[in-house]
Amino acid sequence: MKKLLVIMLVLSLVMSSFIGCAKTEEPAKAEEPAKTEEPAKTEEPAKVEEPGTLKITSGLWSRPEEQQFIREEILPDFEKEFNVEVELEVIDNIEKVMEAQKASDKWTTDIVMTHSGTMPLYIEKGYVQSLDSVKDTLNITFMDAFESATSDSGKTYYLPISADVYLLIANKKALPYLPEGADVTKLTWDEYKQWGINMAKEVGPKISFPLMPVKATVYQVGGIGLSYGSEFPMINSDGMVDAWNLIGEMTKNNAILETSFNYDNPVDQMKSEEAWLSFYHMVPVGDIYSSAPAKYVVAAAPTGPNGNGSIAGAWGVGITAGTNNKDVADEFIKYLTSPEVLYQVAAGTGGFIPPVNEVIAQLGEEPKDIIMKKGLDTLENGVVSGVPASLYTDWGAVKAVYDNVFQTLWDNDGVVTKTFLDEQQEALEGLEK
Amino acid sequence: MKNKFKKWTPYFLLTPALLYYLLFWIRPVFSAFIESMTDLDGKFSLEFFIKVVQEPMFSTAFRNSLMFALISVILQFSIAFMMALLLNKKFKGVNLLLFIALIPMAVPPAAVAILWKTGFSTFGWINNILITFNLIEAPILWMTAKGFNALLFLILIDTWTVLPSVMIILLAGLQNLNKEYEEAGLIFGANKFQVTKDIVMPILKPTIVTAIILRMIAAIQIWMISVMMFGYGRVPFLVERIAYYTDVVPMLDESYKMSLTYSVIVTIIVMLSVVLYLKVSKKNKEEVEI
Repeated sequence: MKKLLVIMLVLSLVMSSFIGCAKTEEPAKAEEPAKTEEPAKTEEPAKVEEPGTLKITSGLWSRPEEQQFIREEILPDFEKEFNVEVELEVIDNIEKVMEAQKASDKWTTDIVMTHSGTMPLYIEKGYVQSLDSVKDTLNITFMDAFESATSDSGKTYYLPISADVYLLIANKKALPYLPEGADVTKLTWDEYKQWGINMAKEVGPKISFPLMPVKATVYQVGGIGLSYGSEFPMINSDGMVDAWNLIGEMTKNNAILETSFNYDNPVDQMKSEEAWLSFYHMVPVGDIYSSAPAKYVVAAAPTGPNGNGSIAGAWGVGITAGTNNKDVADEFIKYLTSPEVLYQVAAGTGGFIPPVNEVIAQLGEEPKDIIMKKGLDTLENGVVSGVPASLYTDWGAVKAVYDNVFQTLWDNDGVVTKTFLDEQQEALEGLEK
Repeated sequence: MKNKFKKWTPYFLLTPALLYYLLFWIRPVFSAFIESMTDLDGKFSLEFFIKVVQEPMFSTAFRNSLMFALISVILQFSIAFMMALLLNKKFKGVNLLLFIALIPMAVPPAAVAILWKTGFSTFGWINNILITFNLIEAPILWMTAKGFNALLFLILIDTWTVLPSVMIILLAGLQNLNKEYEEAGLIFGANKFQVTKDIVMPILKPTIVTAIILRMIAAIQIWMISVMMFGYGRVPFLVERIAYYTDVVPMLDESYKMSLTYSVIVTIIVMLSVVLYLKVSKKNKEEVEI
């Protein structure tokens, strides 16, 4: 009897676990396509007056201090005005969340904030709905640069709320080593290289080139490549060969700090004065500059034969296709894109570019404003490229390819062969969708 | 009736634990094994095991994981045992010393990495201390360590972190030890080293085995400190590869199966290591008894 009971118990448990397995493999609602064009509940909008929750799922504001600022300085006013609780969730892989919500047709996210590189994909997959009705009520004009990413077939699905580029920052201690006749505000990449080499000869390596794997190598090198006429993220074009050669010369001449491999941004190296010069994303640059504006010089990206190149990103805000809080979501978009709030957000989160012309016109001489203006200068006059993440199966893998090329260049005393670059380009193309 | 109920009681009491293991342990592990042994179409194949083994980083990750486990376990056990012996003595300030020694245990791995990264940076507090005491003239570039040096670097950081947990297990064992055995050994003319080696250690063996097995498993699973100090791929470990495929390149077609295959390989290595260790320790015990 005892044995029989044990066997029955074990069998029932094993069977229940297998049933569990089967259920996970075939989600009950996976075969039922979600209605994205006409979300089921948008016809019954929630009353703004009723207390409720508005959920934001965002890839923007990944740094804890940014989230703290948004939660403490931006959201409370909206919550008070509309008697709603705003829940901000910042995650890396929003696509999985959107995919799951669409597949189950259970939408818990109302507002989604994504990078311009993924916007076309989200529009195509029907994760977001048209914002035309909201946009028409706004008395502001958005920069044209992000029109293609935020719209499709004449409909607007996202409104850009921040943009970013790469800038040059130098400690004033580095200025005596500038090549003769060079102007730090109009620097060429050749002069940048020579500047680094001059410092290396006199005081040791002083360029911070953050190389922490799968972080920002691709963007720094890509920006140089754009200056030399390459397309992003090509690895073996003529422009990129020039870019690799330039970096190779800096490497060979000990201009780049080896400790750069341990950092994903130049803040610590620049603030501690281990480094005196860097070309990096404007938010960390803004952080460094704001810490002691008198100590640093900030400039647009150095130029190459094709101008000053930089990878540019933009973040946009959209409303999910199946939101249950359409009215509140509309109000939130209006609130977030108002010039005052947009400026507050841009300045408070490190100095992003507010992509609204009315905000840009109000920029002053505060350190964050200066960073925004320099960024704007690069964005408007430079050779910029967005991040075409949606064209690749995995953008992290693209970064890894770039890391591999840089590491090889470093290990081979600044030299990479064209054959090797061709192989890496092939690897890159293998990642295309 | 009462007797029947009594007979069933243990099974009823065990049911929640069994359910928990089935749902949250056996099922995922079983699924991982199945996933690792099928191709992308779901057919039986060892394709992913071959892919993992042929991956350029696998051999380095495998070697690093084993070397890390071997060196760190020996080092950590030796130091922890000495510290446990010291803290088992009754002297003034022993409780304060124990409190200080246990502090690293309370620091989470991410914070440990930040603490040491700050310390080992070019102008970090370690170089500052060394320069202040005129031990070095220029900062040492600790963070540029590569290969075996980087591995040793991580072992030292890990040792600082986990030493208290090994020590506390050994200390608990020592405190339960009957002092009369040691006293008898000393009376019969053995010195303190002989008493420790021939009396304390054999009696403490079950505790030592537990401590070493726990450490061995944790050491094979090292990854976060490496990633935070050096980033992905610079000092690769087997579990770091799992994190790489899960967090860095999760959207590749093969990522999910690659990470599961790595998981299965790590599970097999952990099981083999534990079995091997238990066999060796059992064999030693038999030899001692003979």
